[in-house]
Amino acid sequence: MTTDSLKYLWQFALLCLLQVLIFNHLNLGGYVNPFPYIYLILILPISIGRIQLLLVGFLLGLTVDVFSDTGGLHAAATTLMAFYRPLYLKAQSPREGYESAAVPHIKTFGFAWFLPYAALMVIIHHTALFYLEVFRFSEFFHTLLKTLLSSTLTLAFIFLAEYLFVSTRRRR
Amino acid sequence: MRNVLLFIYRNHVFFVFLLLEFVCFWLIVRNNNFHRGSVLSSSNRLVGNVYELNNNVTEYFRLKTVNEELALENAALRSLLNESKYISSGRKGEVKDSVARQHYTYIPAKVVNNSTDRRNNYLTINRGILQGVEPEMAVLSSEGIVGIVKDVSKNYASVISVLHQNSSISAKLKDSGYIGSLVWDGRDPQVAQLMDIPNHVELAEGMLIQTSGFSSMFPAGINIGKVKEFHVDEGDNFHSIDVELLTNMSTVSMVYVVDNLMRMEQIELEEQAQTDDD
Repeated sequence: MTTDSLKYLWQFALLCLLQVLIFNHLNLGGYVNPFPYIYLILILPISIGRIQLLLVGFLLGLTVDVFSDTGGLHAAATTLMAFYRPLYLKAQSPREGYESAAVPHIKTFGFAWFLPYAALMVIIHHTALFYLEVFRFSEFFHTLLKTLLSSTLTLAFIFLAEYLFVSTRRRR
Repeated sequence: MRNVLLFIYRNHVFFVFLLLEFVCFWLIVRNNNFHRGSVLSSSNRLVGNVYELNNNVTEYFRLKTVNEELALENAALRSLLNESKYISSGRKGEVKDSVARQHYTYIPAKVVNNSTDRRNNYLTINRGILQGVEPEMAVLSSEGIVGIVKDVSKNYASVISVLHQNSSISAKLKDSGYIGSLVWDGRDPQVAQLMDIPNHVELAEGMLIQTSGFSSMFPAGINIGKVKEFHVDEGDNFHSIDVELLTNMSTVSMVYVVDNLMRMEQIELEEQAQTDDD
């Protein structure tokens, strides 16, 4: 349990640093900015309490906010995402329920299960983020395009991480 | 009463969610207020240190361009020295300096964090209260304008970039003197928009835009950019003008914070005039 908590703490710090030092400066054509730091929320264990998940989401967003001078923008989006994750997982649960220690990864649940899960979560987060940032509807389609392109790139980075860093041997 | 408590208990996840979102919105709204110093911003000391460390590394990759910029600026400053001027007037006894009081002083600073890809962009610079930086001071680069100071901590300050939806800077056409305001539409970080120029004004591509000096922040006559494109929308009384900014906002690294020594005097006078109106 403690080693697991330490592992997630380390991933929390690593993802935040990667986000603010590298991905925040990756700006393709003024439209596309990926936010792969939300990968952390995707890969928390399924058995995590809903309140705990909300708090982790909130803190993760707030950390990125502090570094990017955005008030509570990221925190609002990550909290929303952390709220929806258990609802989606519950709707998708197998008849006999999840294994008690199951962690959402491609290796454990398969590509066909992971893609819609990750895509929906990323789109919820990015839509909330970009529309809250603009905070008006006059730039509706411009923002929509930005959301879709950025979501695609974020997903690409998440899948890259899934295939590069999640090993098959560590069945959990 | 018991039912209400039971209802809250059954839906406690949702209420925690609402509470957290409420905090987020409060932070967002508070962050948009121009004046208030906030603890949770990149002028915070820890955050500033992380960015400064990162900057110490990445700076090496830009040393060459920074050197070139500095050399150019040195040359420009040298040309302002008295030694490099030729007094064409034959008359003697013209000593103008006793009349000219210092109006603006400049605090050099280094950009330690910067963004251009968002709708609302900020910079962090490595100068703060201890070096005399205060909120609402203007920030310039050697080529043009950069933004306005928002929050200050002891050694860092965060700056609202020109590339921000609340940024609106009083600007004028250098040749004709018409005044407009410079805003940004959130698309190209190199291109801002000049509003409120009446459609009878003659324009040409490449015309120079400068600060008007009407605000208490920017000195007059600082170059902002050049007219890139312009047209009049049907039924509109004003030009829509795209302005190519002179400062490259994505690579800017050395900046100057402007301290207007007579700022308080101007603000007090203007507030006086307003209260007299009411």
